[in-house]
Amino acid sequence: MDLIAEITPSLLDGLQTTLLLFFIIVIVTIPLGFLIACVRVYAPKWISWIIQVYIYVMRGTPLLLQLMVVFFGLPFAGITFERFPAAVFTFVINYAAYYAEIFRGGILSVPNGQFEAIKVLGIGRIRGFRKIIIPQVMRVVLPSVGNEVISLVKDTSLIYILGLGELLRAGQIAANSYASLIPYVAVGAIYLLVTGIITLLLNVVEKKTDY
Amino acid sequence: MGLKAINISKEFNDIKVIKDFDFAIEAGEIVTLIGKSGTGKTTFMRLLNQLEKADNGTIFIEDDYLCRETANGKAEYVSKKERLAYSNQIGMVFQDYQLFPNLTILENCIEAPTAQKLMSKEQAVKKAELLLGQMDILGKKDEFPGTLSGGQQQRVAIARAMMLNPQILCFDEPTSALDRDTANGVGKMIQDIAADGTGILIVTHDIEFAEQYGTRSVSSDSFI
Ligand SMILES: Nc1ncnc2c1ncn2[C@@H]1O[C@H](COP(=O)(O)OP(=O)(O)O)[C@@H](O)[C@H]1O
Ligand SMILES: [Mg+2]
Repeated sequence: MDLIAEITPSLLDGLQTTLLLFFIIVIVTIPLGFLIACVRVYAPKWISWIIQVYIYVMRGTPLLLQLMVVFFGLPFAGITFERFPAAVFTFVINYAAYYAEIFRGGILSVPNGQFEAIKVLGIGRIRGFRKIIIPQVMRVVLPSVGNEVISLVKDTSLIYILGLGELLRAGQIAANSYASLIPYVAVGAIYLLVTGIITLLLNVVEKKTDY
Repeated sequence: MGLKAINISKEFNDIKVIKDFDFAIEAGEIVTLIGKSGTGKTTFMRLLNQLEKADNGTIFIEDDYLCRETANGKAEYVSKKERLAYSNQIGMVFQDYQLFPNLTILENCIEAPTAQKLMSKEQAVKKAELLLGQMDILGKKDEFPGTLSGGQQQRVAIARAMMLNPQILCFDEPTSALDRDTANGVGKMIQDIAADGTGILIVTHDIEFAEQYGTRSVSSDSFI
């Protein structure tokens, strides 16, 4: 019990970094991914093609590699990032790509007849999109978006490679210095707690978007 | 009064579906457009409802034009504002209804007139309740479309289209998903709507229904 009391401050410190990154990424990438999906679906072919390549690269290479390229690789090309901004930047471009794919599927799942009904009724494209199309897209994509949000909690641990003191790294340091298994167990419990709370929140959102 | 379509042509990928076709609907008429599958009946209805563009010809309802044939014979479409004026004169009930699943029955009905600021929300609700009552579906006004049967959804789709007071109301295969009794029910409703002065166009391959409820019949053979 003494051990837990001793390691708690450093674990909470790590958790803070983890959660900060998590919230920034969720808030930025979900709208950004939706925007990219809209562009991909509605913009001219060549723009859509560029987006397709971007998504392919982001999804086809490890996030860990992307972190390394941004933080350790780009300086060779004269672009340097601080540690945390490097993490934010990489996670943004990576997760936005995943969300863009999810939202694209959601947009395409809405029958063309819905767009036609909006047109025939003179509702207007923007209002129709906001009031009729987006709610249908949300309902379709929510389970996949939820999965990505949960993945993100765990993926934040990858920023240890940049030397950032997030939760997992804090646990590892504690485990080494006390030669104990307990910090790892504590870290696991904290991750479970966080993902558990998020799962509950997602269920609430899912009920709200249901009709 | 009524709709006129003059000298209409439409092709897809160089295949002519409709060629030099003339057509009119007067107020109160129930015109059935019959013919084999794939002959362009739906396409013609979509042309009238701006879901396809005519290559040639003129389409108008009273003074509101959708397109005019120019000197070179091409159909020239009017401005966006004029098209909206035209489009409120004509309504369409889709074959699969296309109700908005995330809106209640009442919200489905009031969405278009309130979006277009044609009436206040209170006025729209009043009118919607009146129409839903006539369609015998008022009890479902706060339900979502997914909980309704096909026949009930169709009646909501009719009410939704009627909210804009169209002079012309189009139906694409209205009986394709209905049993005979339900089909007769909607046939009678269509007759009631026509009796109030609305011109009706029904695309169908249900000859029995066309003979029973149509006042005039046009064959898609005359498209080509
Ligand atoms: N958007 C389109 N692009 C290409 N061909 C089309 C399109 N819409 C309809 N067609 C073709 O036009 C013909 C008429 O179709 P349609 O109007 O649906 O016939 P109907 O309603 O009489 O069964 C068909 O051969 C169909 O394949
Ligand atoms: Mg058809």
